[in-house]
Amino acid sequence: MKNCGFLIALIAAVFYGCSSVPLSSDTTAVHSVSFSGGAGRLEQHSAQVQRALQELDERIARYPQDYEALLLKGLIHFESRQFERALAALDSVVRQAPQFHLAQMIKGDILMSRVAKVSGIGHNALLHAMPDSRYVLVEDLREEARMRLRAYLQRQNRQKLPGQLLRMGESVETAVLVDKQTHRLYLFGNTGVDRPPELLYDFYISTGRKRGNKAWKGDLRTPEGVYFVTSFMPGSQLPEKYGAAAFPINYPNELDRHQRKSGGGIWLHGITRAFYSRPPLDSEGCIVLSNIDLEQIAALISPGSTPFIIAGRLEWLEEDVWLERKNSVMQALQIWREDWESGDISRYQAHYSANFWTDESGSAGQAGGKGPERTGIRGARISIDDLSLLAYPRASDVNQDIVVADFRLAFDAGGSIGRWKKRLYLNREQGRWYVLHEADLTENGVAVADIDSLLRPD
Amino acid sequence: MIIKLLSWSTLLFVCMAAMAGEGEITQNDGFEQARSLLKAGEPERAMEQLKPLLSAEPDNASARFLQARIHTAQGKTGLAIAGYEALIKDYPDLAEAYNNLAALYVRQNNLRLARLVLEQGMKTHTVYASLYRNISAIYMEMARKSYTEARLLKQEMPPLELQELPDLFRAVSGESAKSAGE
Repeated sequence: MKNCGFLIALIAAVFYGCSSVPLSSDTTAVHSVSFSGGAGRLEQHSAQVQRALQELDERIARYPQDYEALLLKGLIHFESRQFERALAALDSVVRQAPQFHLAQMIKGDILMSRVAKVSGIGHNALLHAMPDSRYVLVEDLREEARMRLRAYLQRQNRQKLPGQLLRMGESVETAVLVDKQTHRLYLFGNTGVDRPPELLYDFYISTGRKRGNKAWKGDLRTPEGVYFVTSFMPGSQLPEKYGAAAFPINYPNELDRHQRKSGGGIWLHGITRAFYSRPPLDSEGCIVLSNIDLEQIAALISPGSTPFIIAGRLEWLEEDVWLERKNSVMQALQIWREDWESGDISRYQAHYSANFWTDESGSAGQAGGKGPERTGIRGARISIDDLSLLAYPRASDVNQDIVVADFRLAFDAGGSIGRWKKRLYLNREQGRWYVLHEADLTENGVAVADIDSLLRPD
Repeated sequence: MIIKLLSWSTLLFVCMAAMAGEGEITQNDGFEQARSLLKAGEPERAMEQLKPLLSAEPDNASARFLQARIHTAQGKTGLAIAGYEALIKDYPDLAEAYNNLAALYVRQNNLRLARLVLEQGMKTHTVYASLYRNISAIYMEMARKSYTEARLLKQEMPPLELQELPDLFRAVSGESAKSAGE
């Protein structure tokens, strides 16, 4: 957190007051007076400002439509009393994205700081005169600003690895991770077998109106768990309010159904064209992304393959901890496979948890720690490939160490050859991994029981 | 070494100036030298040069203004503030004094007083006050437009009109500026 002091100053300036001396400009005598901390602090401050601005310029160079970065540049200029530059940055944002209402409001705030006391985003006489019924809109925008700024502050986490994304199968190109608390969507790219994933994009998102984990239909909450994108709908085939596109995910998944959760139609989708973004807590459970950002990543999301993990709070791990976690699951799977190959049914069954459950849909198996009824065939060759390991986020109703293993399994026992997609829910119990649930999937990655449950979105 | 060189050259300059002036209007020379010395970062010597003028013409506004600036450079903020305040009392339309006094208040972390002083300074001339009012109105209008774009305010305000000035004001006295500015 090398920029910490400066960034906290930024937040303080934005939220806890930043009155401005009327008519003070960058060249007046008043302005030339140095900060109270003396020249050393001034230099340090300007070095931090330069570094932060450079970092944001790099963001914009990578993704020219990163209007959030441009907005942040404006706020940093404002914080370092560069009124004209701040205004220029905000002008540039609203010229390119006039529906970015937060940017419009902040531009108004910057202008107002020239004539009146502005004690924070959306806090000035002009807006305070609004009727309460409309002032709610200011508060929504302020919340959005707070979320975006907080995520910006915490960006140093990027040195760490996503604790939820332990391994991506060879055919899996990208994975989406959503953090409900910071209102961010991260798109990670697969950089090759057993190499850490690479962060490609990081966007602000809106989630369900109510906080907490989804449990039933209509509770206005966004579910937390390990999901997969199941399909794609272009904007042209959708009502206008869903914007550029929609990607439904497989809520309720195997664990959700086991927990008797209801509802469905959880999508990642865009926004009506009249808006650039929506308040942080605004949907009925869906995850809402700016159209421009959604268009940027739409081609990188593959229905039936892209993992979509939603967490209350994503975990960010040091590389050694991340590797340790991944390797322990890999090892457990290897032994599971070998014990299956051995044909010794008791060794195989020892991998199944006492809490193992089967799907009512008839996925092969029996409850009570024995696992699927499977005749041991000595000499069978079983191989696992295209393995993804996705750690379940902790949630109020999932206080266990669960990892979803998604892979292709090839079974070759003499003349009998089988090949299918499998999904195991593994649970760490007293330091050992046990299978909680086992599902066989169709080619597009949808669990057999899921196929006819493509519902309307929540 | 450099300091020595500088001192020598300054001394030479002072001598030459004294010879050239033939003892006449040395006080004015003293003012200019004091200014140069202050600019050169030598407030102590600047003050020495300024003293004869100050004792000869205790009401000289330029000399008193320069004295306050020298005090500022010497870090004697209290004296500088007192100097500007006295100057403003004697010459209420001296906008420069308000400006510099505000800078000192900011240095003392007193934004409230700085702001008041600047606003008073703006009232010294009808033109300043009018320019300030008009630019403020434009900023306010631009902010209102942004808030309307943000869908926070509705466009129901009458169109903006700026205040026009009726006459040319040159060398307006503090008294008439005040009445005209109402």
